[in-house]
Amino acid sequence: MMNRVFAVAGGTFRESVRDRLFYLVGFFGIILVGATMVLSPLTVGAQAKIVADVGLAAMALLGLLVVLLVGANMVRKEMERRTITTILTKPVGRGEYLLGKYLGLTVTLVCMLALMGVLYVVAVLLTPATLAWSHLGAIYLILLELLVLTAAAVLFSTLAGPALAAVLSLSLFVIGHLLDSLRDFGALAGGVRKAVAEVVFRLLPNLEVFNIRAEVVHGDPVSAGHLGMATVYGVAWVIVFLLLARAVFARKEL
Amino acid sequence: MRYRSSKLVMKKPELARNESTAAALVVADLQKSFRQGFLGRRGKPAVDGLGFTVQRGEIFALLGHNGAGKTTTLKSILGLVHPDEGSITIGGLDARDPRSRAHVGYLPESPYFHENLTCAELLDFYSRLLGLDRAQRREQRQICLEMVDMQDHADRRLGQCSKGMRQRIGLAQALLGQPELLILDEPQSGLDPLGRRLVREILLEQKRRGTTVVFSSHIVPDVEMVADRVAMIRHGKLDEIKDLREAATKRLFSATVSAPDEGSPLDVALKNPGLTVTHRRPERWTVMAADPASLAELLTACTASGCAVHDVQTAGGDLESEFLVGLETASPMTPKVEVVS
Amino acid sequence: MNVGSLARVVVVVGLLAVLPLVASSVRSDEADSSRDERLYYPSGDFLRQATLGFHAPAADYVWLQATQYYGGYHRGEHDLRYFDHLVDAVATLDPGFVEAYHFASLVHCIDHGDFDRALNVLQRGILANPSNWRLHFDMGFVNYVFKRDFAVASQWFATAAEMDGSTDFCRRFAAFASRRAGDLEGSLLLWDNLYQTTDSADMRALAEKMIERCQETLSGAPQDGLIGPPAPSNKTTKLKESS
Repeated sequence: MMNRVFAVAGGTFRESVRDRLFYLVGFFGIILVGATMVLSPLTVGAQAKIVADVGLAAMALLGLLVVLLVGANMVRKEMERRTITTILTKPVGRGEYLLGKYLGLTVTLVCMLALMGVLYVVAVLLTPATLAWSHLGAIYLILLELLVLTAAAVLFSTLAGPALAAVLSLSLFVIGHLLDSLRDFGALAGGVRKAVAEVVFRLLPNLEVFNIRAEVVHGDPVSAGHLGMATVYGVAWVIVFLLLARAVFARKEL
Repeated sequence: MRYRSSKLVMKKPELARNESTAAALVVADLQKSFRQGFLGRRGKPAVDGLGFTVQRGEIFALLGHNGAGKTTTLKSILGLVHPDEGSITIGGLDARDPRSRAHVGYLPESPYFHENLTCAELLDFYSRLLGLDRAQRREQRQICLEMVDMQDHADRRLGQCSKGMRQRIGLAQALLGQPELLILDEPQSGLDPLGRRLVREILLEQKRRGTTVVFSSHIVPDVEMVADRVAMIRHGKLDEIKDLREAATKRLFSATVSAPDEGSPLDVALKNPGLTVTHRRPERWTVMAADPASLAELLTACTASGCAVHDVQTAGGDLESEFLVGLETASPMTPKVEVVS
Repeated sequence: MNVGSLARVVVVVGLLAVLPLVASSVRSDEADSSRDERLYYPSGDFLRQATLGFHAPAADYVWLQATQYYGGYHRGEHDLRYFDHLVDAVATLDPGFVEAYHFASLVHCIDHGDFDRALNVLQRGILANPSNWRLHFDMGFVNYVFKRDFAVASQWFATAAEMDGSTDFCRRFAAFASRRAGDLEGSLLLWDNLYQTTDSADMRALAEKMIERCQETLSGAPQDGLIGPPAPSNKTTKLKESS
């Protein structure tokens, strides 16, 4: 089974490379150069902070772009072009196919973030800032967040067309970062609204768990325990989304 | 472009097989309607009570008009759509079991592949899905590219391939792993005459190797030239299954000859029940011959009478007439030939 | 190139030349437009929610806005009425943005002459960053240079000196402030501590000299001049009149 999954994953990764997705890494480099050279004279002593903030934010946003443009369209594109029919008529289960597509995009994101991470480290070292291991922890958690969003995008891709799937993925990103506030607002409002807010809080992934960028830039340490718990949390959500996607996709007419 | 039987010896990969049944494919009482509209109500059935059995080693065609239910039937066999009712077995295995597709090759109508892959990479990808090891993948790639005469284009990207080349590569991926059952949806659609001939030759070669072939088409001559049996489908229902091996001896011909003199050998021959004069003009008559033997008798009589033979054509045979009549009327079995005096 | 293609090129080049002029004529003059923008600038609380986890780079952006706004004030384009709002947005978006508190305190002292407001900003920063020596030092600095409360300044400098990451000059300032406040024993202790712990030869030499002077003063010997930063003048910088 894993051979077939890896075959689909390898094909997906190769498509990403041939679709020139890695040009985004070059775009990231331009952003970093801009932050370092153009903004530095304007920062009044905060150059190191701004370069690090911009670098981590750009990694997260460009990764989100990949999820929205590629992940949300991954399955639907193959369904519409009917490339999926020749794959699923081989002895490949639908679950294996979805897992393979997801792993292929995972490898793509890992490679992109690794390349961007190298550029980021170079940029930070050129500033007065001290580079700590916690910076790598922040990049790792950015990757985890993107993997959770990718799994959700795969689910939405089996449910809806590319535009709607992208909108749903983006909505999940927005809500995932507002869950704490939504819960607080619900608690203030009380009654049914509090109950609804509590249900929403529990049923959706809290993406702020993966957000330690501000702390890292300020030099606060990141505990291994936090990284471990965030990993367990992220992997659990990935499993949930992929299982839901498999259930939907199993009934899909191709 | 000619089909070449590959000189390489094709070793069958070690795959599980179920040889307990002589039938390669059994479809029973297939029923499928698609949901339509915002509320997802079930529409008219795309396939309504369809059933047939395909024997091992035969070429079986599904012939029907556009929208008859051919593609839906094939997709139901392959698990791409989920039938509402009915059962399908492939080599004795339930078609819902992915293992049933281990020995099945499929070519969809107008196949589309990732444009950035080369032909060789595409075949390698599909070979990996079949669980072949590296050596087997290399061998299969070579064999299948040769079969479809694409060995010189192995490194060409699919985005740079013509429609005909993509169709051939599609056929090549269907042939990977020497499938026992080949399912092709309109395999000659959009091909030029050379391409169509290549596909015909490949299908006949596969039959010689013992592969069972099921293909769909709405073009009668394509079916007549290769199929052993044909299931005629109309509006989702099966009209009849015709054995073309028997029907080959009953082919209709149309000949245009000079008008005979009364009492001449040709005049006598035209009383043969296998010959029917359909059109009389002062100088030329059009005669329908019901079978090759009758045609031969007509031509002999023309020679003996000194009458010129201006034209001889096949008249589409029973199959095309039946197919067309079946679409137009409720009485599809007898071909209608209009006699004009 | 045929006439049609040439015409298309002319149209595109012409539009590219004209459009920036049109845009700048549609907008009002820069000072008015920027003032209008800051009037409607969202609050830090709203921005923190709206930036969806990107509040740190959003704080950087608002910070750049704040510094440019201050630059515009010095060019005489406008006053500083929105400065507090911008700083508040930065601090709400990123409470760890130490530079913002530091800069805001200096602006309040120098441009507004409002030292208590400066101390409030710094205290807000200390609440969010209790272990940041820089903010504690700034508290001492405002008290020493502007409020001339040397005793309080000395305490803040001494607190900063105890924190991780602080440098020798925290202790130096603590010692100077203590002496200015008349606490010679305290000053002596601080100089001695600096002498024992500093890695800098220059700082050790200075500390040694100050220890001698403190001891002389304590023993009643006449002073022939103070060593240390001069006491600030009584003048305060008035807020610039808006144009």
